[in-house]
Amino acid sequence: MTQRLYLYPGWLRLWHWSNAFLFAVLIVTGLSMHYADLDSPLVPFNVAITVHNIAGFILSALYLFFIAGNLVKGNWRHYVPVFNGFMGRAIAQARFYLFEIYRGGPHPIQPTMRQKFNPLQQITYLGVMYFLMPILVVTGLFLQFPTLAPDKILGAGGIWPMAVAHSVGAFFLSIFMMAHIYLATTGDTVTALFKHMATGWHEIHDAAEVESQGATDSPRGDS
Amino acid sequence: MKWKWFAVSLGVGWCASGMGAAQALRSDAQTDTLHLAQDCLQCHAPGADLSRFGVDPTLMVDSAKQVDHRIDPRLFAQSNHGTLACRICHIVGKEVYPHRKEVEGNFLACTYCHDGDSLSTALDFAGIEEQFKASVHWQKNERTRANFDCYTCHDPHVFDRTEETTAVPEVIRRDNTVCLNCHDNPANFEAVTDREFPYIRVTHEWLPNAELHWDHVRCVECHTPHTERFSHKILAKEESEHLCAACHSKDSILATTLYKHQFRESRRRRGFINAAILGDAYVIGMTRNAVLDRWSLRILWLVLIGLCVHGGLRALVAAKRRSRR
Ligand code: HEC
Ligand code: HEC
Ligand code: HEC
Ligand code: HEC
Ligand code: HEC
Ligand code: HEC
Ligand code: HEC
Repeated sequence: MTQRLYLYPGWLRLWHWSNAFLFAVLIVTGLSMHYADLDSPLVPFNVAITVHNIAGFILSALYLFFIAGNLVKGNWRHYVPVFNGFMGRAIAQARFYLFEIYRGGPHPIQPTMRQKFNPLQQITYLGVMYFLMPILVVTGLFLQFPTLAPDKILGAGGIWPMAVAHSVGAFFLSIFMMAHIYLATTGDTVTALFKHMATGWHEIHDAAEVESQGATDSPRGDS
Repeated sequence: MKWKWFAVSLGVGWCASGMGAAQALRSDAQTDTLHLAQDCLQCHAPGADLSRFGVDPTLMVDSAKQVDHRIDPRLFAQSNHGTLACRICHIVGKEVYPHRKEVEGNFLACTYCHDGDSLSTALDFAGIEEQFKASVHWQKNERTRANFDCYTCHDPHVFDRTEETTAVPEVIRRDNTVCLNCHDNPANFEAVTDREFPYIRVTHEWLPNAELHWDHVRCVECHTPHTERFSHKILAKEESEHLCAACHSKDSILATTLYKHQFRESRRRRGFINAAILGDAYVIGMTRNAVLDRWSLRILWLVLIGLCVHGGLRALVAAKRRSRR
């Protein structure tokens, strides 16, 4: 029996894929600016700046859209960790990624309508969406409108702390994106999770496993 | 060198002024010191009381007629020529006042005095003159050329050469003021040419945050050849620097031009490459933190390798399992 959960509604998928595309654009143009070179530019500096500014602006707007969507549609609940037994579940998930995945074992934690993230996803996404992203958006806006930035910070030009925070934040987001894409291949098949995110329907194939997880309403079956 | 000539003229002027200066001055000032700057400044300093000498003050300042013959004594004293007597450059005539007719526009070229001595060689006045004659202001247009000389940019009463110790923001402000005096002021521009005034705000629209750039970088950075010693050859707009990466890159030209003195002292501070600039500006692509750059690259590789190993193992195990089945 295949259990199908409509985990990713239209607005979320639209946001997710635009975000993914903008991330790629921003990473390429951002790297190109940071490592700007006269002789062999990845993207010419002025093109990179313009594209980066536009993409960054849309990304910021989309971020607000995401926050608003979360509030209105209640999607924010998925980001609130349930502390009871959190460590145990996190360790189970880590063990799965590190060892059990090779044996083709079942995912220890299956998504439910209440909680679609496993604990590792949850803390990562929480950090990414509510810590790194705001930093990136705010510092990015300061870089785009440098006259708004404070004149001097610690005796140095006011935009360098912004620039450093921006590039460090961007670096961790790039790392996140790499890991995220890779882990998206760890579904039942390599492409399964990509399909889920395209259609919105999360499919859980193994009937026995689904039953044992109680994938309908109880927040977490395995703990 | 023409110093002998000066010695003579100074001596003559000295005696002449002693004998024939205006009545008011004779009674008021020490006639034998009339060659000193402060004597001329009795009338030419801002706020001077000309009626003392029976002279109409509007002859000195008349904003309606745009007349202003005042000299700022403080700036003059600080300038490179602050120790010189006014009369070395100004031949005011036997009687100090009223001045000789020829006093207007009667001045000496810089190279008239700065020729052949060690200072002139050190500053390369001959080279500067050559560069100036190759610049757009001299080359492009007859009328502009006729109105341009060294004094167009260097007010002889104010000019104070940039020293190694001059703070960079001050250098930027000083040098850009020279250019903006004409290029941001249609009246001054049109006074020296018949060309239509180009609005540089429009001309530089391709440069994002142009105003920010003008606060942090000099016009001459883009408009002169990138030589370590400031070149007087202002380039035509076609030859001017339009590549962002000229500054926005690790090998930025700013390290050898605007910030050359700072860079001689320190290239690295707080782990930053090109840190000398950090106190005044952050130039994307130029100011980088070497430590951060190095570690981010390492972490990136580690993650990549980790993911590849993980993925490879998965593929391997899956293939084995399939073949066993
Ligand atoms: C008694 C006051 C007085 C004294 C002293 C005086 N000047 Fe003047 N000067 C004037 C006035 C008034 C003018 C305005 C134009 C005019 O009346 O000639 C002037 C004009 C000038 C000009 C500009 C001429 C022009 O039309 O562009 C120069 C140059 C000049 N003075 C130099 C000197 C020097 C050098 C000394 C000292 C040796 C000196 N002046 C002393 C009153 C004075
Ligand atoms: C290094 C040479 C030099 C010295 C020293 C010098 N001047 Fe001049 N001065 C000039 C030159 C050159 C001009 C013409 C500037 C120009 O073309 O814009 C001039 C112009 C002037 C003018 C006319 C400015 C105007 O806008 O009408 C006055 C007045 C004047 N000088 C007064 C003085 C006085 C007073 C002193 C002494 C305190 C002095 N100068 C010292 C070179 C000198
Ligand atoms: C009347 C002769 C004369 C004229 C004209 C003249 N100068 Fe000078 N200049 C001098 C003298 C004399 C000194 C040395 C002053 C001192 O040591 O106090 C000097 C000093 C300087 C210095 C200072 C160098 C240093 O760092 O010690 C500079 C720069 C300079 N002149 C540039 C110019 C420029 C540019 C012009 C033309 C716009 C010019 N001078 C016109 C006589 C002249
Ligand atoms: C278009 C404007 C302009 C003209 C015209 C001009 N200069 Fe300059 N000059 C400048 C600027 C701007 C600087 C400042 C460079 C710096 O900050 O080091 C400068 C600097 C100098 C210096 C100091 C150089 C040094 O190494 O410190 C000298 C000397 C000088 N000029 C002489 C001349 C002479 C001689 C002429 C005429 C042949 C002339 N200038 C014409 C703009 C001009
Ligand atoms: C006295 C006024 C004046 C000053 C000061 C001045 N300029 Fe100019 N500039 C002109 C004029 C007039 C033209 C037009 C020349 C022409 O085409 O006849 C011009 C032309 C130019 C051009 C370009 C022209 C082209 O069409 O290719 C550049 C670039 C330029 N100036 C740069 C500078 C810089 C940089 C400075 C400061 C170091 C400076 N100017 C100072 C008056 C000035
Ligand atoms: C980042 C480099 C850069 C800086 C800084 C810069 N310019 Fe330019 N400027 C250029 C280039 C490139 C052009 C030619 C633009 C074009 O092709 O139309 C230009 C064009 C000009 C022109 C010609 C305008 C026309 O339409 O004829 C003038 C005048 C000029 N600049 C003056 C200035 C002045 C004054 C400053 C300082 C306040 C300045 N520039 C700063 C790069 C620069
Ligand atoms: C002559 C050197 C120079 C050139 C050429 C130059 N820049 Fe800049 N740029 C600077 C400096 C200096 C700053 C000042 C940074 C600060 O405010 O601390 C700056 C700042 C900036 C900023 C603002 C940085 C921020 O944090 O928001 C942008 C955007 C920018 N440049 C883009 C460009 C582009 C695009 C080009 C080419 C079209 C260009 N620059 C060409 C020197 C240059």
